[in-house]
Amino acid sequence: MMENTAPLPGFVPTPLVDPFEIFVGPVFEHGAAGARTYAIRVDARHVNRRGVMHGGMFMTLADLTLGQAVWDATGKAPCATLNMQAQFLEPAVEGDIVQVVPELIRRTRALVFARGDFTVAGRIVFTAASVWKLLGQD
Amino acid sequence: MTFADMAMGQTLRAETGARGSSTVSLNCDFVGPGHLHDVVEARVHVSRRARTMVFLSAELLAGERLLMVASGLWKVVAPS
Repeated sequence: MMENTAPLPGFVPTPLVDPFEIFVGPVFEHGAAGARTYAIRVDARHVNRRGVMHGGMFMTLADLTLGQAVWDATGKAPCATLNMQAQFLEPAVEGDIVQVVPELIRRTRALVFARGDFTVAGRIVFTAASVWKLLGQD
Repeated sequence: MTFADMAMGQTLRAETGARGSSTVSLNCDFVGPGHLHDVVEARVHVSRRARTMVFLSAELLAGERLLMVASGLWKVVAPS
């Protein structure tokens, strides 16, 4: 399909394991655990008929990147998304680089609260907050 | 989430006759896992239709098993 897998200068590809995430990737990252920046280049697979990034793709990117941050904080503990709240502020178009620095707000024994502001050229286009369950923890 | 967004947007256009719409916010509760080969069905409800904004909710099911509860807010781009 019309994916653009060219490298992103200054970034390395994020190792992805879920087949669905591999399908929509590549996703790129730089920085150390706990303060990583993630980025995706919007390509022809990610857009709707108006040529802007699909809302579902934004939420997939949010789930992927906030999940990576949860994994960084928990030593890749098995976990699942319980809830995600998303706000769509502005469109992103094909060729845009969408970036996020995920924040972990709080961690309890069984839950992690995460959020992120997603930017294009410094402007916030999308925000998401999600609650994660660490599987096997009560 | 993508399927919920699609099904809710499609329902909005079918129910309101709007030619286009934009998702403003979407809240998803992941109630249970969906498995490979599941057929997932979305049941969408229009909670309120205002002049330019529409409130929608949806349940995603595999048979009788609830997978996701979603609610969201859409802006009608081109009212007909």
